[in-house]
Amino acid sequence: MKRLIYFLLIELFIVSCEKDDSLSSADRNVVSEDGSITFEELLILVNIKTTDSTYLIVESVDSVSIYINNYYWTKINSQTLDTSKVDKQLVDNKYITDNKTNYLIIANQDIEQPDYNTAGEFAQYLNAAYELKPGEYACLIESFQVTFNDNSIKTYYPFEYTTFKVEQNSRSAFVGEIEIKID
Amino acid sequence: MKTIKLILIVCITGILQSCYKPGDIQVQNNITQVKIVDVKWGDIYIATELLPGETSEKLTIDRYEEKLPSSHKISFKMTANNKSIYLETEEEYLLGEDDDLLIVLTDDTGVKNPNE
Repeated sequence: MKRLIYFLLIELFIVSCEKDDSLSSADRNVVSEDGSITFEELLILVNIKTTDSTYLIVESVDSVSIYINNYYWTKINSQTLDTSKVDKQLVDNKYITDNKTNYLIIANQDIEQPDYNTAGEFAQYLNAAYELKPGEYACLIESFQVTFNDNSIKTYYPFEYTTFKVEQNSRSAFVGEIEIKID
Repeated sequence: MKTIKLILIVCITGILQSCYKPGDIQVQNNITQVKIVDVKWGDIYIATELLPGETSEKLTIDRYEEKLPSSHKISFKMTANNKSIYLETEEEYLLGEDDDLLIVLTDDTGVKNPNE
């Protein structure tokens, strides 16, 4: 019993001493100058409407390419949906439903991570963050991909714009619900 | 006799003093789109803030501050976009007696955060 306790204590010590390697040198050591809350993410709800006014059911909407004021923000997958719990019908190679189904996209800004060996690379990192100051912005969904029931993948280019507001000292903004029509 | 001794001591001290030549050091910030603050050579403060393209004033290092020749890294805080990071150059810069050293920090200068 004593041995087990010692073992657990040593294990705990080792774990607590480990560095978080998932963070880059810049992410770990950069600090905000004015102590303000830095803007981190956009929250977007997307639903995909078919021509017969039903909604597409997929596990996730993938590779959603997002631009803010025509500035590349990120390319990201939506949160996954447990499709087994959705009332749906199979039509051709896709599942559809009469009920509106939203997919949640949590979009952090995609900043290219250089190697961080030179002053220029650190400077590039500090300048790369596109600060969303309080105000109105336009969000563009440029493209996305869906995987159908037969595992075929199709890319759509909706070029759907919506506007949203960033409040003072907030870490996220809700862009809203975007309805995308597909064939 | 005492006077001669005193003169000799003063002379030797004078000779020793005149043998030591201080060195001058300057740092130029040629890093794109960032300012660097609290620029130091080792523990010696070179500049409070340097904007891109700006060069610090010439700082004379006398023997009371640092015995030359001496070699140190340049450390500074890089700031842009309301964010800061502390960095040190990988390279040490050698300042010898009677030297006039201009250290130019560019985008290609090797740097690291000591935390790594």
